[in-house]
Amino acid sequence: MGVMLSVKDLVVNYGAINAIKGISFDVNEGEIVTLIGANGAGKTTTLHAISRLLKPKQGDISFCGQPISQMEAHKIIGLGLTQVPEGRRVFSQLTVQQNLALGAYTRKDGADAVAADYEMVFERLPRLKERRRQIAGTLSGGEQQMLAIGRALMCKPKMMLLDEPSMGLSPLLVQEIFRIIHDVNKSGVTVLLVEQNAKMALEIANRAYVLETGTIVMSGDAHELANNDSVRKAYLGG
Amino acid sequence: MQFLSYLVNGISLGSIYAVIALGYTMVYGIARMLNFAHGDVIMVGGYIAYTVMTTMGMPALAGIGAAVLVCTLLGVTIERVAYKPLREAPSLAVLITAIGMSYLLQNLALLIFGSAPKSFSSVVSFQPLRLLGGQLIITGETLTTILVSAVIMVALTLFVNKTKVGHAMQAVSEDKGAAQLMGINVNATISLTFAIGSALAAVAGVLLCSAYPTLIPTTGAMPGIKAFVAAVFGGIGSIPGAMLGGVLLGIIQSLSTAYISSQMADAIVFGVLIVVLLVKPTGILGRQTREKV
Repeated sequence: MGVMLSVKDLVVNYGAINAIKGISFDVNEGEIVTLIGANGAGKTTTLHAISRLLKPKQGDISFCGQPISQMEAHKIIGLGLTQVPEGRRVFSQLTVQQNLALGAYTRKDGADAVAADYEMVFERLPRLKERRRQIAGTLSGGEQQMLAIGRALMCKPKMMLLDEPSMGLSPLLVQEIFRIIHDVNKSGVTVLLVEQNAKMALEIANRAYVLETGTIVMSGDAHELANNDSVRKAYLGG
Repeated sequence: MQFLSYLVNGISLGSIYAVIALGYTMVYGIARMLNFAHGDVIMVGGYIAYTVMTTMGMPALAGIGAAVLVCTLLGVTIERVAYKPLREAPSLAVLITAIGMSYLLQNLALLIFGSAPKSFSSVVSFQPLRLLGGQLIITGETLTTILVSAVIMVALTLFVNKTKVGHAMQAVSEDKGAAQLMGINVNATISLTFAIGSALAAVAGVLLCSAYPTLIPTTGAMPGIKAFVAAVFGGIGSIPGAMLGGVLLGIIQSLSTAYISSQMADAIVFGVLIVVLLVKPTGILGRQTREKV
């Protein structure tokens, strides 16, 4: 199990605000690693810096040994690193099928291989199959989240970054989304999961990092952290 | 019969507005900016076609081809040089840059071609169509304009809705960040949009100058503004909206000129815009953007 994603001394400024103050962490191949923390701790900023939607001020990010902190945002996906962004951000005026097709936008392995992957996505997320011709903006929040995950799967990722996938969903749907994330990981995709729902995140993760106002304050085995007193007090409601 | 002839003229003029409005609306949809220099690209298209056809004596098709080529390059260059550095700047700065670019193009044309009007020779060579026993006469220019515009609108609609690149453009228009996560090159998409819009402006310029043959450096200004109105009227950012807005605007203008007052025609056109925006602020086919949590 080699290191897949490595972040070293990352500093990101958001305008005048010093959002990330020099954090370092690794994600190993095959793992689910979660980054938990309160609102405004810098979780989304960290993911945006990895996906190059934000320019880091300092620090090195490498994926599968290749430095990516200077790369253009649209080239990142070509390495097999995809992101399911906060708030789903599906293309609301396109159909489910067209959204999935955009997920495969950079693939060059031919229409047959892509078509096979539509079936793979529909098999894992059957609700999308029923709604494949529906305009994405008319889907429910949970279905949009499934579409965002399905769309990310269409690029045949090695690693998936997920930003608050449970946000705004009912407890039942949260369960289902976490089951899907678990499945995705079992199929060989390494996962970096950002969550406010620390309880659920720590349950499925192998390891975790706790982020507080731009600094990593704690890290370790997910189950150990779930039983840690200060983590329980701050993030798990006592 | 008079009415029919005014209507056909209105549709023809409106088709030109529609083709120009497509450029405004696509650029707005993708880059979220109002490219006020768009109207002047029409004028550049007119001058290029004039130079190739009249000064150099080459056939009409060469003139059209040259106009499309030069305008496409011009549009892409304008975006690269003037607008791209301002991608993150306040929208007011971009707007003022666009207005500055508009005057720059007009004054460059003045410098190169002079202020004396050029007489544009029509690219259409076939005879007027006589219908209903000669009572309704449709000129070759009118007919060509309507046909060419219809083909452009159908082709563009198919391109945007049925092709992978078209879907990528829609994705960039809706959410640049998410589009980048899909691996879509946003800069290249914006360049492509300017290229298409400017190529359409060149075609519109040739059609416009064929129907109204006086070519001066400000030729593109008024049609540019009208087409902008058409784009807002139909719902800025919406492709079918720009088409509908353009054609309606042409019809309103033509009928007002015929039945109310030729001096009041422009005032009526803008008056209708104000009423439409009061009733439906997003324009006829404009969409309210909603967010789902």
